Amino acid sequence: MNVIADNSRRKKAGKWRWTERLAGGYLLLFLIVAFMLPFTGMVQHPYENLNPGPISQPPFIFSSGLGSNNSSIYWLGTDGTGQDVLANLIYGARTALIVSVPAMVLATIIGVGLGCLAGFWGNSGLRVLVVNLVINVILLLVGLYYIIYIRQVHWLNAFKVGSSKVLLESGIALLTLFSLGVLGWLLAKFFKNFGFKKQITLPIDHVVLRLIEVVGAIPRLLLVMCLVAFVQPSLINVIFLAAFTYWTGIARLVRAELLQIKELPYIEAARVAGMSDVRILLKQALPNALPPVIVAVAFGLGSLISLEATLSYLGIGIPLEEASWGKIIKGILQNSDAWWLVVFPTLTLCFTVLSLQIVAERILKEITPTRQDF
Amino acid sequence: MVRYVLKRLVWLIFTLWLICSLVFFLSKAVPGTCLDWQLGEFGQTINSTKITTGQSGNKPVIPLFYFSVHSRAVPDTLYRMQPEQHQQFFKNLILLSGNRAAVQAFYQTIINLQKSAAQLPNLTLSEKQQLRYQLELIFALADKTQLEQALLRIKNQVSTRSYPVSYREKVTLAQQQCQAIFKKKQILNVLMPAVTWYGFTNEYHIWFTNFIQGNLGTSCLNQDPVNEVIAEAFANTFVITVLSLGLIFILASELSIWLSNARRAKWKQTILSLLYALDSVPLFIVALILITLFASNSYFNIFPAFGSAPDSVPGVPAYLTWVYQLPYLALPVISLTLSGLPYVTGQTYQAIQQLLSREFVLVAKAKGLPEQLVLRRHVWRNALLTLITLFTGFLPVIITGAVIIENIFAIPGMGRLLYHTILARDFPVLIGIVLYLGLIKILAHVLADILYYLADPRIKVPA
Repeated sequence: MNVIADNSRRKKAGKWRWTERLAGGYLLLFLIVAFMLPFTGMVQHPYENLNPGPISQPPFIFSSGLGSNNSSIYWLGTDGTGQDVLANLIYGARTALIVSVPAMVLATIIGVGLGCLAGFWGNSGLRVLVVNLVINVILLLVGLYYIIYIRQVHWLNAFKVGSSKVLLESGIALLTLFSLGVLGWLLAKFFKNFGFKKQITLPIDHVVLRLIEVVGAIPRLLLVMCLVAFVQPSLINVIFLAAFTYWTGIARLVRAELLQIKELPYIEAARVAGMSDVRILLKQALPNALPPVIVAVAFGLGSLISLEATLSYLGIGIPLEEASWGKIIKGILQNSDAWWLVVFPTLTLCFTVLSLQIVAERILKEITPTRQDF
Repeated sequence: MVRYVLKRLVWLIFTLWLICSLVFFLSKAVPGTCLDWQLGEFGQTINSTKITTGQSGNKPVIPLFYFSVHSRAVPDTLYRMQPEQHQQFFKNLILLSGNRAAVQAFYQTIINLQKSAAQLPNLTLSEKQQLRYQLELIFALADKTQLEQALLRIKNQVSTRSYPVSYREKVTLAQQQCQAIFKKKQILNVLMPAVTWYGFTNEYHIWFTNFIQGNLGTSCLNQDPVNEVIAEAFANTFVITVLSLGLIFILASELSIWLSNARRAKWKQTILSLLYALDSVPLFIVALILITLFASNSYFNIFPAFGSAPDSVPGVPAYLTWVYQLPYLALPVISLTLSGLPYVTGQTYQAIQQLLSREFVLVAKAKGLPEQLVLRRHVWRNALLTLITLFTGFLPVIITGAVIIENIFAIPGMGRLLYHTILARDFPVLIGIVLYLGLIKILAHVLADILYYLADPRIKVPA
């Protein structure tokens, strides 16, 4: 029961230091600016602004464009096509958020799910009826045949038309899966009555570890770049690809934590008390495994923001009409005197990544004050 | 030990095969062939003499895999239909209606219309091309209303101009056939699955047997063997990677030993925060800043910015030419080192800090050994294990780093090759790059295991 005991004498994690305050404040500001400003109409989308300002104007020149009817002030200068760097930065922040947050959420869901399976049940924890397994695998294959192969035309048409058709298709897919699931359940019950009661253990840990190894066999950026070759450049695709490559770290972390936690006495106590495995996992084990995941998520967000900037700098995957920090920085290649094209995006990028890391460590301290020693 | 390494090797090679197969199938799933991609993306720039257009047409069409699972309404010889877009069109219509005969008839009529468009009298060449193009556009559709609209448009065009009556009738026929497809649906036929076995003459089998023998095929771009293309690029990447790996690990261990020395407490915090900040700067920015500062005319023009030195310099023996490469490699290696250093230093420093509180350090100090000696001979030796673990974990980072660096500094290595491969959709080369980078990673893993053993013979490798 030592974890519970630790929690009961939870001590205050101390005041926020000034770096932590700064980081938190910056992140808040970042969120507000990235989400709110584009909707107010005060800044124009850099690639939709039809009357650009002077080309490559250095920052902090506050005379509003002489001799032209363009009266805006370019606080941070303009790039090679006369677009405002500040507007570019704000819209770039939005792109960075749009890519990194959903990708990280997806990756966390996949990672925590698989990590739980591998860590909590391990290679011998999950016993299933052979009949059940066989029926379910067959029905899953049948389901995939109907959902993906037979309805491929409908899917393609749906994606061309838009969201309502996609929702309809997803509904049909879910309905098919659900009815097949019911069918499988009935079949399994039927066979069980006829004496098919042999059980086997599923080596989930093995499977998940091998999966992690397969995805990890190629360096991450390389994998993303390779997969980008197969799809059209769009933010959605980049999000899915990033999620596909980032789940491994979180899965490994959750697995390692659960391996330790499941040996603790309080899990044993819960088992003796007659709680089901799923309940123990969700109510007892998982909450104690999550704090390190928070840090991993924050670091992952930072590295996803960097990845997005890198991809847009290389001009792969991120569509041309999206503003991005990487693209502003690219402007230095045309004009090596334009230091403001590198300095401002770099500073925002680094501040964002640093703030994420600092805040994550702070949150970790808040949640588990006893952990802060290591 | 040997058994463990072998086991590991076999598993990792299996992993590699899995990934390469995946890339292979994905490359087949992408619509269009090598040639289409090139014509589409580089239509103007590509050297037209190198493309042998006739070749791909004469190749016998073979199935993709040993077997296929398809709907019973879809013919099992569908893969022979050329071009690929027609195949997709045909399959889509059958999956929508299940009426194979009706779809076949409709398809044949459209093809006939296309062919006979060339022989129409009273039409200029551009009008004929226009008509053919419009008919071709039908093959991109798979929606009942869209199909009917497209046919109606063609019908209107045909009836306004002086087209022959027979041609007009054929268009009407196509319209009727199109309606027939959707009128007599045979959904049950679609829902039933069928499996066809194609035997060993399939694309995957041929690719895989070549793959095992080390023949990765030829590049789509200029028909060079993939192995040659990669070998050419590999040398540059290898030099950069090894140089920066070496620099990172030497600098990291020296720096962490220097920081661990008790007298430098004042410096410690500053340098650690600096490293922490540097860790958050993406590599491409480090490289760009270096290039702007040290290779452009605006600031200090010390190093050459792009490319590599000439292969042979007159008047200099061949074995000395690599010296001329050094200024070209300096900035790339420095930026890779700078971006890798914070992480490795941080980890090593922490390992040393943990070791410093161990008893053997106390014993060494109690014996009266100077601090420098304790750090170097006793602590560092033990921290070596952390460094070795870091080495394998770090290799992928260096390789990815090389991709970015080579693009910025225009070094003709693997990274640049990869970039161009992706832009040109040159899938054979892509598979090759994935394979070789995977192999390098495997080798690094095995090397780390061996180094582990050498650094600390007490370690029993799990069998």
